[in-house]
Amino acid sequence: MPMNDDLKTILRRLNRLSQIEPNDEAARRALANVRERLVGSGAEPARPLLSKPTRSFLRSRTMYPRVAAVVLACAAIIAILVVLNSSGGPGQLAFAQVIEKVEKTQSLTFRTKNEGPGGHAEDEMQIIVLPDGKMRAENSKILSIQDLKAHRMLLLFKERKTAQVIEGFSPPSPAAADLNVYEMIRNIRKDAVERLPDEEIDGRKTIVFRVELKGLPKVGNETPRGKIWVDPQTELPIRIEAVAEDENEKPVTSVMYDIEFDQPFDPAIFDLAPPKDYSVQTGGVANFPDLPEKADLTAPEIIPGVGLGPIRFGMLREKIESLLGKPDGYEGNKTNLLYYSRGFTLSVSKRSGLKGIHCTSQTLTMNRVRDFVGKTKEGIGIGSSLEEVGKAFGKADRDEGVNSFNKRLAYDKYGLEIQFVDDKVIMIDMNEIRSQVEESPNERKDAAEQQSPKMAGRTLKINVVGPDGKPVPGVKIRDGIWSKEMTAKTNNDHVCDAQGQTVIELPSTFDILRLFTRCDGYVPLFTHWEQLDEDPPDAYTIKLTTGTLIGGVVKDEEGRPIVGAKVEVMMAHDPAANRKRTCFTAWLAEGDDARTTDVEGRWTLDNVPAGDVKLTLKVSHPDYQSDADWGGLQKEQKMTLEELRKQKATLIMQRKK
Amino acid sequence: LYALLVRLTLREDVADDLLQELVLRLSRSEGFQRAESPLGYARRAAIHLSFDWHRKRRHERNIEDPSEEQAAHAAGPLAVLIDREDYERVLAGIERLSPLGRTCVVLHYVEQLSYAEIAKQLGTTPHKVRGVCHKGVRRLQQFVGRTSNSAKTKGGNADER
Repeated sequence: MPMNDDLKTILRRLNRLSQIEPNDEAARRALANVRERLVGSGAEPARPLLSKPTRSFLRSRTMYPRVAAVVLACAAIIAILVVLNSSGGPGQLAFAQVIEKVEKTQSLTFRTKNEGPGGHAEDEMQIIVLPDGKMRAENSKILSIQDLKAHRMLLLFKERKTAQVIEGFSPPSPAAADLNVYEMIRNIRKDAVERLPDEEIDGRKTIVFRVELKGLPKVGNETPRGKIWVDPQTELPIRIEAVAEDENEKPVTSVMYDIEFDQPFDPAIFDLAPPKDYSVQTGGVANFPDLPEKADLTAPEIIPGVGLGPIRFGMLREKIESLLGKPDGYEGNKTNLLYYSRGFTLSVSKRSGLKGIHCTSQTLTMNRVRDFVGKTKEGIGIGSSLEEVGKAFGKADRDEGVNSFNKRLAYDKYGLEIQFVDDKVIMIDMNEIRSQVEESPNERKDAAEQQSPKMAGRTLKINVVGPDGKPVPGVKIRDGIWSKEMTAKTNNDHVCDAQGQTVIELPSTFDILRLFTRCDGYVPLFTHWEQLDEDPPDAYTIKLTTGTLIGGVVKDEEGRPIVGAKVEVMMAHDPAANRKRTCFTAWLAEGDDARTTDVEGRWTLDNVPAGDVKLTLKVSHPDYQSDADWGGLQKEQKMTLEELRKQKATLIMQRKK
Repeated sequence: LYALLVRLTLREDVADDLLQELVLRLSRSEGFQRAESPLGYARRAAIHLSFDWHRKRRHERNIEDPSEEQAAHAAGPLAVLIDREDYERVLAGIERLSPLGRTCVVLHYVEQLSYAEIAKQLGTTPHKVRGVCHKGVRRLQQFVGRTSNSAKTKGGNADER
């Protein structure tokens, strides 16, 4: 059958996916992270197990990166314009006139693109800036409109027709605060400027200057430089280039071209209302509430690895809110609690409780936030110097800085990651340290006691009844508990008492609870409470279903019974059944539960559901050619369900040569 | 496994997180300890985790994570994908396949395993794997074709470049 274009395209894309190879550094980093979480490294003691917020979570807290490209471009243009105003040397008078003229204009329109290894075609933008702090940046995929006075930003993702409204939009310094070009022009810095030979652009003679851009992140160890082309006729800039560094430390040349002033425009293009056909998501906090009076709530102490002020890692959201008060806002299905008015956000799992604490400042976040004012007992907080941090915590385990401008030191034993800009702390992220928590049992106990009584050392009582509703004693239940608590056992076996009951002890926090119930004569069951599911109740009843009998005979080629052949039985599993709290398991007889043939080569199994089920067998014996895969011999010899139900299913095995 | 996670999430940072989760789960998994083919088991778990991540990302995100926009254009090995959205559409299509179809399509077309190798890992026959792969790709074609057309009508460009 000829292959059509759609199919070819899909196969080509699948092939391209298969060719993706992560770079070695990323793979090494991933393996190192796994090692850190699980086994520690080398001869050193195992590193603490961190309940680490994902990198994307942390990044989303710090910057709206797509906008960052525009920010970078704008910061560059501003830095250059500022330089012009303060420059000495040749052309000084002309530049003073340029700035004076720029200040008198009512709008600035330009196009921008990023070139170089860190640049992307998608970064091309058409930008309009107004003196009152409004800016509109647009390309084929994204439109952003921001109003610095209204503290509001609108981001439209055109292809997906989704809109994000950022309330309390408050661009960070030093880069993004400079979005207000006109305001920045008034802030003059004395930076180096050098006159270059005149050049022609599009047939127009221009005056060219090179300047140092001290307001931008360094490229390597060097202050980034920029170039500006000024039209001597209009005395206004027509093109600007600046070399800076992107978040991956790759050099990016931001090019601003087609610069024009006072172009006519429709004021409606700055409307911050999302289009009606877009789905809208709102983030940030528009208005801050009054601060609480208690100092431990407004300036809570950072207790590395343990918590913040009165709250502790592992604490559930309800408890946190009862101690700290309602957050200013939420994100991510209430998994991120935003206390922007107090300078921190919390990452909370529904089951595992508080996982991450993020103390922040306005310096690098687009959301309006008050600088966090709490400190560690060593006095480390926002604004502390690199040296002070070094004295307090010693040598960092890792520097995870995204570039030379941003240093991010990780102290594993304290569960801390501290971010610096210009050698000053601008952000402190804190994760739970498992090993440290174990060393501080009192604090752990306190935290557990502060949980709701339901979650502190709680138990789950299981009642097992038969189809008639009467208790079934002797039922075996194996639990599977997924918990990050190192003291919690993963699997435990239980046997129901004469009343058909058993009690399962649950850790204070867990992600998943699974129960595997087995009893001769009944169909084995699987009961589960998965992640983000509802909490298990205090008591749960499992109702068994009577199994039906199947069986057969295993013989050799000469019709002699084979003794000791292992027969495993699997039932075709309906994935939809897993949505139920309790369902049949697919593994009817497998591993330790496998059946073994007797002296007559017979085997039976009494836990098969009634009705039309699809059973797959795997038969093995050390002296005979066994099934390598499930259903091999069965299919080969065309065994039917009817034969199995009549216990007359015969399988022939060939002796190994 | 890390490479597989990168291929299925198109995100190195996410793959990093998922790899940790995967190893943690495998270390506690009875099935993994009993598996005849531990690598096969781990691969299947990685596939489940990746598509769980896709599902979670779609369902649970109240605020769109703009860092994804950045990651979408990150340089490096993922830059071989000229139009990421097209590949995300293929992955979204794979997500909609049955669990068996998803596993077979990923293992055969993305991990480039032979039908026999997959059959061994899944405890089935190469013939069945081949059938499932064939059906899976046809379903993928229907799904991707539909979303491409809808993207085109919205002004998007879903063509291979």
